[in-house]
Amino acid sequence: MKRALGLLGLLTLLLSTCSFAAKVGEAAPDFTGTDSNGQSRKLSEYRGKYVVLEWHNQGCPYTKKHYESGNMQKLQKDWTGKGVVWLTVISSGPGKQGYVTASEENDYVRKINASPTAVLLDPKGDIGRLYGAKTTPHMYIIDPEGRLIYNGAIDDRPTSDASDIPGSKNYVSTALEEATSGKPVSTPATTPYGCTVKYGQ
Amino acid sequence: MQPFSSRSVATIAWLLLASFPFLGAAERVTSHHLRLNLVSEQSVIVPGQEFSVALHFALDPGWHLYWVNPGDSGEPPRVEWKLPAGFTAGALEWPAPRRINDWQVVDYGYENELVLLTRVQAPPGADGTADLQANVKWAVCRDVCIADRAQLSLKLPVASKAEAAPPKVLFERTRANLPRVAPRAWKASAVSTKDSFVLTIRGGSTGIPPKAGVEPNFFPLEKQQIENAAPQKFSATGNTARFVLKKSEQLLKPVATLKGVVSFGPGQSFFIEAPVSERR
Repeated sequence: MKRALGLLGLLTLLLSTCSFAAKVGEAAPDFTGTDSNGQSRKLSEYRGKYVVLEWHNQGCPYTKKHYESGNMQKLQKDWTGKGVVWLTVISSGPGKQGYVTASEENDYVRKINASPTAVLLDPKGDIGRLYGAKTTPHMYIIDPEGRLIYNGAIDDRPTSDASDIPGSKNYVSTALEEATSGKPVSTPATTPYGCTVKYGQ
Repeated sequence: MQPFSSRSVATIAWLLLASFPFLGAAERVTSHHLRLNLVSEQSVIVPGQEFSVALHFALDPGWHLYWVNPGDSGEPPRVEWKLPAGFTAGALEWPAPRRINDWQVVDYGYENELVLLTRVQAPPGADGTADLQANVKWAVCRDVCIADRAQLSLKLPVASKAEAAPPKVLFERTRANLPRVAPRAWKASAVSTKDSFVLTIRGGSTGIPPKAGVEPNFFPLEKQQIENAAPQKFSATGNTARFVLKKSEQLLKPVATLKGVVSFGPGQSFFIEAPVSERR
C-alpha cells in the first residue's frame, strides 16, 4: 500500500514537473472553477478585461500580513473599481491549512471586508497546479487578450511583517498601472514569497 | 579612569549572573516549536577585542528555519542588534543549508537546529557590563508557518583577559560547517543552455572533495536564477564536478554570474562564483 502510494506520488510529481507553469508573455491557461457562491467561473469569459489571480490561505502569516493591514482589500477595491477582475483562489486541500467551505469563506470575506470579484474554491488544486502557484500570496495578471503579463510576488518585501508594507514596491499595482497606460510591464516576473500552497493529495 | 573599581563592579556582576542557570551568559526563550538561546563564546568581554556570539535555535522535530535565500517559500531569520555605544556587530554567518521538499517546492533551510554566529567588536574603552540585545524575527514552518519574534539580552562583564565559556564547543562545531572560501586552485564556470546552467568546478591541484554519502548540491545566493524544485544532476569525473541546474521559469534576463554555495557533505561547503557564458 505504502509503495503504491509512493509510486502514485512519484507519478504525480513527474506529471507536475513536466506540466508547464504559466509563463509570462504566453497565453494564460484557461480554467473553469466554482466560486464561493456556487457560480461557475471561466477565465476566458473575462476576455477584454484585466484579470488578477491571488492565491490565498487565510491562516498563512504572509496572507495575514496583507489582510490584517488592509493592504489586499485596498488593492482589490482600487483595481476592481477600475474594471479589473480580481479572482482570489484557494487551493488548500481538505484538512489542510486554509481549506474552507463556501459559507466559511463568505463569512471571512464579509468579516475582513475583502472585495474580490469572486473567490474560487480549488480544493483539488487543479487551478493551482495549472498555474504552478507556489506560495500564498502568489499573484498573476492576465491582460485583455488573455496573455499572462505578471507572475510573482505581491511586493518587494518578502517578510510577514506588516510594517514593511508602507515602504514596499507593489508589483501588482505597478504592472497594472503600466499595462493600463499602454506601457510594457517593467517587472513581469518575480519570485513569489509566503507559505507554500497547501495542496491536498 | 578607575580600573580597580570597574573591575570589582564587573566581578560582582559576574558573581550575580553566575548564580543564575546557563552561567548568566545567555538568555533563552521558548516559543512556538523552538527554543532560542543567545550565547557568547567568551564569558567576558575584553576592550578592543572581537568575540563571537551565537543565536542557537533548537527546533521541534519536523519544523524548519530558512537559509539566507529561503528558496520557494518562507524567509530567513533576521536580527537587529542593540549594542552598547561603540560596539559593532558583523553579518550573520550562515551554515550550509539543505534542501527541504514539500510537494512541488523546495526550500533551503535547516531542521533540528540552527546556529547563527556573529562577530561583535568591543570598543577599546569598554568597561562595566555590556548588555547585548538582539531583536530576532523568524518564520518557522512544517506543514504550516508561524511568524515569530523574540527579544534576547546577554549581559557580559568586561575584563582584561579573555575567558572561553562552556558553549565553546557549539561555536567550534558550527564553524566546522560554515561554507568556506573555495580553494584557490578551483576554477568554477557555467554554460547557459536553453533550459539549464551547466556548472563546472575544476578542482586543479587541490581536487574536489570525495562524495560523502550525500548528494552534492548547489545553493544559489540569488533568487530567480535556477528552478529550486528541479532535481540537480550531479556528476564527477576525476577532478571535475558538474551540476546541471534547471533555469528558473522566472528568469527574464541573462545571468552573468552564478553565485552560491556548493556542498559536498558535512564540513565540505564552499562559496563559488561562476561566470556564465552562452553555449555557442
